[in-house]
Amino acid sequence: MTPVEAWSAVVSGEDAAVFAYSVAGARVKGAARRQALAGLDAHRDARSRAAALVVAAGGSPPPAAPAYDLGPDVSTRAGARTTMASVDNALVPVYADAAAAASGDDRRWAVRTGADCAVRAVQWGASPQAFPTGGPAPAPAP
Amino acid sequence: MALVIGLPAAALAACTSAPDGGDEPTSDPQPTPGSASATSEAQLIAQYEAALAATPEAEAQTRSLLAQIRDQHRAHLDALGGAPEASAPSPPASGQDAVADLVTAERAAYRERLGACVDATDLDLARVLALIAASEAAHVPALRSLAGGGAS
Repeated sequence: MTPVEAWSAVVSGEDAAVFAYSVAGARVKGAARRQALAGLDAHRDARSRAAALVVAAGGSPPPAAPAYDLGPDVSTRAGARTTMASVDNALVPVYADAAAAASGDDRRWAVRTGADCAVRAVQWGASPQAFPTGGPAPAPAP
Repeated sequence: MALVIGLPAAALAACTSAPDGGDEPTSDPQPTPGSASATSEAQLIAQYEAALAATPEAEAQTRSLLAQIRDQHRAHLDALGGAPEASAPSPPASGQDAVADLVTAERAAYRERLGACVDATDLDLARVLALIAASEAAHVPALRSLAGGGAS
C-alpha cells in the first residue's frame, strides 16, 4: 500500500467517523456528550492531519460523502454508543496500514491515533480486542 | 503456566496478518523489535496468570476480564512468533493491587510497542505492532472499569 493510498483511507475513515460522532453524539447526554464532543474534535483534527499527509505524499485527499448510512440503531442511546465504538474500532486497522506505509514521526502519529481510537471504543462499551477492528466503516448514504 | 510456544522472532514476516500462523522457526537469537516485544508479551501473560491466581473465584467479572486479556496477549505473542518462557513476576499483594499493577504494565507495554513499531524495518511487523499497541492501550480503560466498578 502506498502512502497516498494509506493516508487516503484514513481520511475516508475519519470522514465517516466525524459524521457518525456528529449524529450519535447528539443522542447521548452528560459526561457521554462531553466524551463524544472530545472524540468529534479528535476525529476532525486527525482528518485534517491525514489530508495534509496525502498532499505531502503527492496525492489529493478524497472528498467526504454528504452523509453516511449509520443504520437505524443510532437513534437510541445504546445504539449511539455502539455506533461510535464501531467507527473507532474500524479505524484501528486503517491506522495500522498507515503506520506500515509511513515512517518516523508520521508512523508514530498513526500508532498513537489508532490507539486513541481503540481506547475510545472500549470507553463506549466495546470489548477489548487482540487486534482491534470494527465492522465495515459506514457506507455513504445513497 | 502454559507457555509452550518457542518460536524465535525470525519467523516474524511469515505470520503477520494471520495471528495463528508461525510455523517454520529458524534460529536467529539476535534481538529485534519483534523479539523484544515477544518477550514482553510472555511477561504480561505471566503477570495475568499471577493476578488470576490471586483473584478469588467469587470475583467472577474480574476473573473473566483478566482471562480475556491474558488470551489477547497470547494472541499477540503468537503473532510475534512466540518467545521463551517468561520469568515469573513477584506475586501481587491483593486483587485490587494486581489490577492497578496490570494498568501500569499495559501502559508500559503500549509505549514499548509504539517504540518498536517506529523502529521496525519490516512493514508487516510494523503493522502488527501498531495493532498490538492499540490493543494494549485499550486494555487500560477495560481494567479501570473493573477498578471503578467496585471490585472490593
